[in-house]
Amino acid sequence: MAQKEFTVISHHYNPDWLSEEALLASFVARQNDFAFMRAELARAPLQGNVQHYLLVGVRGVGKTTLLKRLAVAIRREPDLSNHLLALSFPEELYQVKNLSDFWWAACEALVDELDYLEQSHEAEKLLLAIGQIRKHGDKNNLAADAGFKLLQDTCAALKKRPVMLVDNLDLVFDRIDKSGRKLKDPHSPAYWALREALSTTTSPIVIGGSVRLSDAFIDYDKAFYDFFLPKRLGKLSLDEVHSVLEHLADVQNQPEVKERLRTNPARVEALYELTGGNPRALGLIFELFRSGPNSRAVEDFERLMDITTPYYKARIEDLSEQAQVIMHALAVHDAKLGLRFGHTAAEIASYTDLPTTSISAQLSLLENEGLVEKSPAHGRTQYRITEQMFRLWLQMRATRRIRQNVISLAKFFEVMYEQEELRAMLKEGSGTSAVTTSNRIDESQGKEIRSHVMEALDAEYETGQQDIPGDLERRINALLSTEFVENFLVTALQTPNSAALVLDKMRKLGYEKHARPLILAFEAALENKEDMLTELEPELQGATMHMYARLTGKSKKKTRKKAVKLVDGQL
Amino acid sequence: MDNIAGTPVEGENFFGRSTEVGRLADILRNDDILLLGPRRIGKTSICRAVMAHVKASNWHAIEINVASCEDELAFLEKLHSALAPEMASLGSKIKDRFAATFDAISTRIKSIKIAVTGAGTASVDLAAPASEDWIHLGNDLLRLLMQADQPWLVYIDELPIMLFNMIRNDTPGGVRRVRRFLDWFRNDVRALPGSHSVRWLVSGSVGLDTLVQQHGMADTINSLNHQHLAAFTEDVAIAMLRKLAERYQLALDNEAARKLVAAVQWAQPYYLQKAFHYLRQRVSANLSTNANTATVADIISQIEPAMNDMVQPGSDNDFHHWEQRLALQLGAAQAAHAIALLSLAAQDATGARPENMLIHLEGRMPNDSTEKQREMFINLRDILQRDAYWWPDESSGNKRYRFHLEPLRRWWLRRNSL
Repeated sequence: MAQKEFTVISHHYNPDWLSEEALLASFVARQNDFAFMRAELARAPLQGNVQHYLLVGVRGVGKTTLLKRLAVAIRREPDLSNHLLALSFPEELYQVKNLSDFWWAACEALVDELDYLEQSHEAEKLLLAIGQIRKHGDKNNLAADAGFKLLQDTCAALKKRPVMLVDNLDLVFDRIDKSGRKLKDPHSPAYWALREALSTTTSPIVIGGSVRLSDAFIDYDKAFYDFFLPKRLGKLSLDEVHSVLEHLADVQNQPEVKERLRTNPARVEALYELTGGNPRALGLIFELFRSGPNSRAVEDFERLMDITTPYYKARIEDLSEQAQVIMHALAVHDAKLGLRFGHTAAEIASYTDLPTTSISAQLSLLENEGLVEKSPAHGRTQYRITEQMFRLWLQMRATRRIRQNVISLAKFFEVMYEQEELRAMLKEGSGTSAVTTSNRIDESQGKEIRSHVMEALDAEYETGQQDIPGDLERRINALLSTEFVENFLVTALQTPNSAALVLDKMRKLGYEKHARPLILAFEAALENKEDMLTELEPELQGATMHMYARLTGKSKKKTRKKAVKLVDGQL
Repeated sequence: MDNIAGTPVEGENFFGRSTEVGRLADILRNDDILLLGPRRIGKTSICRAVMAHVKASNWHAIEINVASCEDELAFLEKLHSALAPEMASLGSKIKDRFAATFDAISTRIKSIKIAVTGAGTASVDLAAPASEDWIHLGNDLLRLLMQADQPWLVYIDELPIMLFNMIRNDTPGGVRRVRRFLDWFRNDVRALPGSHSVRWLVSGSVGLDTLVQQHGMADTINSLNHQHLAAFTEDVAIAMLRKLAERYQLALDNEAARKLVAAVQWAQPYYLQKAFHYLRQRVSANLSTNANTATVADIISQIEPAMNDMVQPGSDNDFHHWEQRLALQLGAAQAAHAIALLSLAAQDATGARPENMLIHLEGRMPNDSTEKQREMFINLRDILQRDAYWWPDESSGNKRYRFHLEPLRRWWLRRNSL
C-alpha cells in the first residue's frame, strides 16, 4: 500500500512516470473522454480510413494521463490489442529536428512497445534495421521517409496498426517545420509530407496532445487545416473533483480525509474555483486535506502556491526577460478590469513602458507557447495568461497589495460557499427560505444612494482598504448577506440610474478588491451583459455566475419574485 | 460507415457521390480534369473513387500528392516512385521492355539538378545542367507510359501548393518556372505521341485560379476541363447521417436527421460528419441514459447544444480563419468591406438582399463614385461566392445572399454582436 500511495500522488508533473497499476488506480476523472476515445480505437480498422484526434487543453488538464491511459488500454484489452499497437512518445522529443527524425522516434517507440510486449526478437530485429537504414540513409533529405516505411512495414508484418500517442504535438510541429536552411516555415513541405503519410488506409492513427490549436491546425492554407478533430479537455466538474478526491482517500485508505472532504465542502469548492478544476492540482489538494485537517481554504491555497513555486518559477525563468515582464504585467495589471477578457497590447505597452510593437511580437510568441490566449471578440484583441494557477502564482509573488487581492478572492469563495451551504441547510431544516426581510431599504431614487447597510459598509471600507482587514470574513459575510444582496442590490437594480451610482460607489470604496465576483455580477446585471460572464478569467466565472443568479433571480425564481415585491412595495 | 471528418475516405466510407464519380470518369475518356474547390469538401476522396472506378475498367491509375514538392524534379521523383509498383504489375514481356528505360530514368533523376536562382550563395544549383533537363526527363517518363497497352490515369493532388512552393522558394524565377511547368503540362505533354492514353486528374484547394490570374497565365489551365463538387442534396445528406447513426447505434430517424441537416445547411460530407461527431459526443456525455438507448427525442434535444459547441469561442471548432482569410486575400480595406457585408448577411438565416448590401457598402465608401462602389460590391460578391461564404438564394422570389454554412453564420453573428 505504501508504494501505491507514493506513486498515486507524487507524480504531479510527470504522469508518464506512473506505473501502469498506479495509473489505473488513480484514473478517475475524464472517464467520458476515455470511453469515447477508447470506443473510437476499438472501431478503427486494421486497414481503412481513420479519424485522427487532437486533445487540447492547458497544462495539467490531463492530456498526458489520458494518452497514457489509452496506451494501457491498447496493451491490455483484447478488442484493442488484437489489431492495434500503442506507440507512446516521451513528452518532449528533444531528438527531433525534422520529419525524418520524427519517423525514427516512432520506430524507437515501436521498439519500446515490442519490448514491453515481450516480443524481443522483433524488437531486436527492428533496432538493427533502424541502425542500418539510418547509417546509409539520405541525411540531406530532412523529410526522408525511410523511417516511416520501416514503421509501416514492421507493423504490417505484425498485422497491427500503430496508434501514435504524441503529447505536445504542436511542439513536434514546431520542430519539423524546416525547409532547407529556412526555419519555422509554416508552409514547410514536411507538413504536407506528414499529412500525406497520415491520409491513407494504412496510416498510423494519431492521437495528439496540444496546449492550443495552433495555426498549423486551423489556418486555411496550412497542411493540417481541419485535419485533426480537436477534443477539448476542459476543467473538471465539481462532482468529478469530489469523486477524484474521495477515490484517492479510498485508494490510500484514509477515511478521515474522506470525512474532512464531506464536512468541508466549501473548502473543496473554494479550492476548486481557485485551481480551475485542474486535475494536476487535485493530488496537491488531497495532500492539503491530508496534512491540514482543520485548515481553511485560504491557508490551503497559500500552501498550494508554495508547493508549486519551484515548478512555476522554473517556467517563468525559462522565458526571455521581456516575456517575463509581459507575463508579469498580464498577471498583475488588473486596475479597472471590470467585465473583460484581458488586456490589449496597448495597455500592456503603457503599463510596461515598452513599445507596442515589441509587446505584440512577444505576445505572439507567448501565444505560440500556449502561455497566453487571446480573444478578438471585443474590439481590440485582448490577451490573458492561459493557465489560471500560473496567473494566480504570479499574483501571489507580486506586491503585497496584489497578493491581498488573491487572498481576498480565496476568502470570498469560501465565505460564499459556506453561506450557500448554510442557506441550503436552513431551508432543508425549516422548510422555509433563510432569506430575511427584516430590513427595509429607505432611500430616494436617483442621486446619492445611502442605506443604513451601505453606510455601515462604507464606514468599514473607507479605512485601511489597502490592507486585508482583520475581520475580512465578517465583512464578506456582510456583503453576501441577504440584507445587502437581495434587499439592497437587487432592489437597486430595478432603477438603472440608482444602480449605476451604487456600482460607482462600491468601486470607489474598493469593494472590488474583496468581493470582485459580486461587483462583476452587479455590473453584468446592470448592463445586461450576461454573455460576458463566460469571458471572465476562469477562477471568477463560477462565483460571478452564482452572484449573477442571486442578483437577477434567473435561476432563483423566489428571489426574483421577492425583489419585485420589494420594488412594488417600497420604491 | 465511420464518423471521419478531416482525412480522405475510401470504400464503404465514401458515400453519396457515385453519380459524380461516373460523370468524372466519363469526362476522362476525352479530357483531362481540373477539380478545384475549398478545402474539406472531399476532393481527394472523390478522386480516389474515380481511380478505383477506372481501374475496374482496366486502366492503370496512380496518385501523386505533390504538396510537399518544392521543384519540378521533386514532382518527377513523385511520379517515378508512384509508377514503380505499377510497372512491377505489368506483364513480364512489357516489363522487360520497359525495365531498362525505367531504371535509367531513375538514375537520371538522381543526377540532375534544378536551377533555382538566388538559392544559397555560390549556388551549386546554378552550375547544374540546364533546367530544361527535367522536361526531357519528364517526357521520357511519360513516353514510357504511353507505350503501354492500357490507358493511364494520373491523379495529381494539391498541385497549387507545389506551384506556390516554387514561387516562394525562387522569388526572381519562380513565376517563370511555374509558367514553364504549366506550359509543359499543356503543350509538351499533349504533343507526345500516344498522349491520349494518359489522362490527368488535377485537384487543388488553395487558389490555383487566383495564382494564374495574378500572373497572367490563365491560358495555361484552359485546356483542362474545370469541375467542381456540389454539396449533397437533403435526401443524400439524410441518408448519410442515418447510415452513420446505424454504425454508432444512435436512434436518429428521418426527422432527427433532417433537423441536423437543417442545422448545418451546407450539406458537405465533412460538415455533416463533424456535426454528427458533436452530436454523438453530446449524447454520450450529457444524457443520463446510455448513448445507444437514447430516444429520438433525446437526440433531437441535443442537436442545438451540439451546434452551439461548434461555435463557442475557444471550443472545438475555430471559425476565425474564415475572417482572417479575407484580410490575407483581400487586404485590410477590402476585407473590412467584405466583413461588413457578411455581418449584414448573417443577421438572418435567409441572408440579405444585394440591393440592401450595396446601400450598406455605399455608406462605407462615401467618397467613391457610384461605379466604384458597384464594382467593389460585385467583386466582393463574387469572391465570397467562389470561396463558399455565401450563395445566391432565389427561392423566395428575390435574390438573397445567404451563408452556406449555418454554424459559420451563427459564429459570425455571435462574433459581431455584444
